[in-house]
Amino acid sequence: MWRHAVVRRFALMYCVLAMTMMVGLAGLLYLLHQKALAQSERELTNLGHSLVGQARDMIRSVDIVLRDTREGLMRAKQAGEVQTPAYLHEHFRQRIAGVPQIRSMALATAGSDVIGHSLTPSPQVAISDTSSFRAHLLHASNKLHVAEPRQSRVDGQWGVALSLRMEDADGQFDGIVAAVIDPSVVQQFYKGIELGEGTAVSLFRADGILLARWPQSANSIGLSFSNDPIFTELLDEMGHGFALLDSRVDNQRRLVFAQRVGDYPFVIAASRDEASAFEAWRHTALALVAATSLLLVGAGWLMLRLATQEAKRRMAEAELVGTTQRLRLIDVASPVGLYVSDPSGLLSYVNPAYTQLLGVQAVRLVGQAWIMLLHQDDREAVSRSWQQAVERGEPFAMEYRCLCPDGRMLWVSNRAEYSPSQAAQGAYVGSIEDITARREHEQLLRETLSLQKAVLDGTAYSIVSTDRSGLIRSFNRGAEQMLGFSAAEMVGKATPARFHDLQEVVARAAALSVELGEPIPVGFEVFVAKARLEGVEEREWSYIRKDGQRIPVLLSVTPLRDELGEIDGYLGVAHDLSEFHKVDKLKREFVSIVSHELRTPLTSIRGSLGLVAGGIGGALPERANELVKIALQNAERLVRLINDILDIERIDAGQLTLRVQCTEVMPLLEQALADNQGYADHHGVRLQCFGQVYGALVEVDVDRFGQVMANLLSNAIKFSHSGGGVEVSVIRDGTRLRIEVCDHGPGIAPAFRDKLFERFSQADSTDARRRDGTGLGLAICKSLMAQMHGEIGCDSSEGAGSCFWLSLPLQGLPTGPADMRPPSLVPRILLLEQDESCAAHLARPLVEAGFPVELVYEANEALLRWESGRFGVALVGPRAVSGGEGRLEQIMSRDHQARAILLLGDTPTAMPVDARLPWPLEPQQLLAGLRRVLVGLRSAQVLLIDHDVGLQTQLGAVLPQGVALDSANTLTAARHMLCRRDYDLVLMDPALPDGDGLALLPLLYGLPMRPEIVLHTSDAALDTGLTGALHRLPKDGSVESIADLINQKLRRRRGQEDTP
Amino acid sequence: MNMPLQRILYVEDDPSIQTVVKLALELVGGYQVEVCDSGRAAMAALQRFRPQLALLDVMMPGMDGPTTLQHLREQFGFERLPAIFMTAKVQPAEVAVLKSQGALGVIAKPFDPMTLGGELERLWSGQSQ
Repeated sequence: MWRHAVVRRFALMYCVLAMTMMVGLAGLLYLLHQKALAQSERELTNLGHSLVGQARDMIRSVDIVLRDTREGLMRAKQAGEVQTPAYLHEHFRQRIAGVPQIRSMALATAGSDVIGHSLTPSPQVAISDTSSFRAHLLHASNKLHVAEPRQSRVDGQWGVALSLRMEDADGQFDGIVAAVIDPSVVQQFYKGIELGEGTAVSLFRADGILLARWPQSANSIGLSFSNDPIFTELLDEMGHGFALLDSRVDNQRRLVFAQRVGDYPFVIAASRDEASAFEAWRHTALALVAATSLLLVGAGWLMLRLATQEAKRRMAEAELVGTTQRLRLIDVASPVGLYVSDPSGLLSYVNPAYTQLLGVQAVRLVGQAWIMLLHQDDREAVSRSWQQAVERGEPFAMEYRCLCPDGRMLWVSNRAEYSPSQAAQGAYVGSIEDITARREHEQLLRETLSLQKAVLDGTAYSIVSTDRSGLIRSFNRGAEQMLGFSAAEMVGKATPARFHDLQEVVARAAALSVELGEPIPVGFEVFVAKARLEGVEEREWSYIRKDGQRIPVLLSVTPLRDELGEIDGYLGVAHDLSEFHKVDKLKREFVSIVSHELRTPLTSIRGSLGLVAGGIGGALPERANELVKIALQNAERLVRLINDILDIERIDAGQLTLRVQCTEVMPLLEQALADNQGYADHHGVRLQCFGQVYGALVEVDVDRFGQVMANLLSNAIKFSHSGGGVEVSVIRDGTRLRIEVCDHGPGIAPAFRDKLFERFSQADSTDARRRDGTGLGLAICKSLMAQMHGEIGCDSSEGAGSCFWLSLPLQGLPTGPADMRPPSLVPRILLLEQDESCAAHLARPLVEAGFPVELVYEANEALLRWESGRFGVALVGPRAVSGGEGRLEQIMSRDHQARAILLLGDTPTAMPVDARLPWPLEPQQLLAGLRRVLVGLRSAQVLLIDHDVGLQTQLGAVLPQGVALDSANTLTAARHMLCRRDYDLVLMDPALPDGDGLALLPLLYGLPMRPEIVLHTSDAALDTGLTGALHRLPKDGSVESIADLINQKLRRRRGQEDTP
Repeated sequence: MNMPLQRILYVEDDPSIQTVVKLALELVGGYQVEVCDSGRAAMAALQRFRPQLALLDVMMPGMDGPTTLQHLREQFGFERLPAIFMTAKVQPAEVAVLKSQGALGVIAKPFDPMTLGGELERLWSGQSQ
């Protein structure tokens, strides 16, 4: 409220008014106070004056009586009369009879003896100690002396003695005559006067001793108040004064008027206490203050009202101005067209946006009917609607099309309100807005929605969308029909789990948890976890209809994303597979039956032809014989085709179960070669096998592996020219075994290579040899290999033959990460050889044995690499030195303890080498030499594999110093140890608690440093098939004999004895 | 069984195959073959022919191969009659079922008539081991 200037101004005015009124009031109160003071002064002065007069009269009368008496007495004395106390008593009594204020009269001699007293005829008292006596004795004054009040020595009553000096004829002191005034008489007098409230009257001796007072103040009579402001300040030279002062008599602030009593030593004080003096004033003041305050409050409230009203009025005024301005701005700046039209539709005003929107100048619009620019089709309806609005005085709102003069067609939203004040007959104020874009969007959306609805409703697929948590958001007609639930039952109420088979969901959750490596809860997550990761998941499920019937479906789940790309739901599209399954089953049955039914006649055909061709029916003419052979061949091909079709069908149906077993691979290959030897001979093709991988175990179905090999071999033979060769190579490729079947035939075009393993794919069906095949063989091979965890592939260059390969995981070798041998365990070999073919010849056995080899051709490069320290062995080939003798020596000079240099051939050098091997040499010799050198670089390591842990202790005691002995008492432990260290010798009792120790043999044979192996067993059956590296030691020998054998073997290994 | 294989009882409903097998076994293998076209006929011929081996087709109308073998073996003196099945259904499961019924082996149709005798001989000698 205070932020309004007008209110502040009013507040200021009010403050001024209030202050003026208060100042005025203060002045008035002061005046009234002064007036009250003056009135009190007047009253007190009057009272004081009258009292003084009264007191003067009273004392004067006493004075006169005393003087008369003194004169009489002196005269009598001078006349010599004797005055007896009795006389005097009588005399005095008579003298004071008419003067009531005099209580007693007495005469004292110069010797202070009282000789006459009005109260007693025989006063026997002396007054030498009284102030009256002494004053008269000492001062020869004719003045009346007033004594301080004291008790009479005659009757004990209080009184004030007034006395005169007696002199003899010579003027000498001759005693005093005194009259005692009774103060109570004075007080009685004062009491009789109407003093008024708070008013007091006091009679003082001139020196301040209080003689009488009314109202009574008993304890103060007789006390001296000489220090009272009356005496110290008030009385001026004129002997009177008026003031407001603090009275000592009753310790109150009083208004006092005081005056001396003529020439007598008395002072009269009339006083009134302040409270009484100003009581009337105070009442008046109180009333005035109250009235003023009331007035101020009233005025304040009134002014506040006025101020607020004024402020409101001004604000309203300002707002009105602002609104008008704003309206003008809106009018100009608005993107919406604004217009004013009379009820007949004639425009009286349009804003710039209006003209822009329609592309017509304002001057051509104003005065025209706005309806003229409408699209013809809409004109009538709009016109009718406008008329209706005008008739009813209602707002007008409509969307219609406008046809602009420039040919554009716009969708416009027109809204108008009736405004009665605009003109005499009122006017419509309205706006038009271009809604063409919105209309188009709406149209598009409508079309999309209707298409979507048609698609959703028209399809037989169950289409269900959910939110992120799985709650169903839409449920199409297909879903309703498939599942028997209505959309109303499902949308917003259930999740897809409602129509899924719980058993399946539980099983899938478990499988997914393993697959994704994190626990997947049984619930909606099971359906979407994979789709979220991979974008879409297609999978077969069973739906359970509302009536309990099971339906196999193919469900495809896709995440739905919002505009930010965040997943906000999922879409599940399910296809009923019931029919498909039925058909599939029919097909399978059909294939099976047809195959069988085909076989029966084929059996007769093939059998008959076989017998005829075999000459059972007698010798045939040559042409007939040729024809019979063709028939026989094709009968056989038909049999193969049927077999392949059956295989494929079973693979598809998942019915092809393999009997996988762990088998040594070499015998299988030999068998395969033998089986196909006849076919090869028939085609004049040589079959050759290269490479031997000892003890390599693979997990395969023996028959199916044979089938695959037969397929590859027969293909290779078929496509080889007569006299050509087919090579089968066996290569160890890390933890896998690779079998290659290579021919030197025409090869395979790159374009076709990708389709090789698809069904019925034959590169060139015009080729007679290809026509011999079924087109299913490689597809079957691929499926079979996949089931045996293997791979199949083909490397081929057109014109240079094809190379089909199989790859299978080697069994009995460490494959898991935990079992992986650290690469550093095997020393890396740097092979330096300038001759490429020689280098390859050297490298191959090393690589096959599992040594990492890096080949360099130049001494410079070899030096650089050697210096990197990555290599444990430098193998210098026989033709390495021809280029740089100096470099070679440098390599050798940089040798150090943990590294070895092998020199091949008889290159003369003075450099110390770890070993020199003759050249040429067999790969086995190279490996043996290399191993011997490497063994020499470190201390001997022996691994004892035995379930009896006690043997280690016994052996440890008898083995020589420098032979390190590790032990393992289980198969697992042994594998573990073998993966962590290279051993020179393994002593093993194959009977281990967790398996047959012989299973370790492939691993041991595959180790690059291939240890000596001693089987510590009494099982003589093992002796068959023992090779050079394998030795059997019967169990009954002593520990010493074991140690002897170990030592002997180790010595031999270190080249201290000749290798057998 | 030390006696060489000579007498074979062959049960097959398809006359063409009957002919081919009979020719193959008699002319190529030199065996003595009694051909029956049903299980019933086989049982009738059993005591008269006294075969050393029964070669049986599996799928036959009326009585199939395994049932025929069962009936044959119920006859006195033929409780342990060796038998070999011939079938067009050579799936491992089916072969296993047939073998479990006491057959020496299963020969797949179609077969090579020139080697059929050798195959029988191989299975026969395998049984004797």
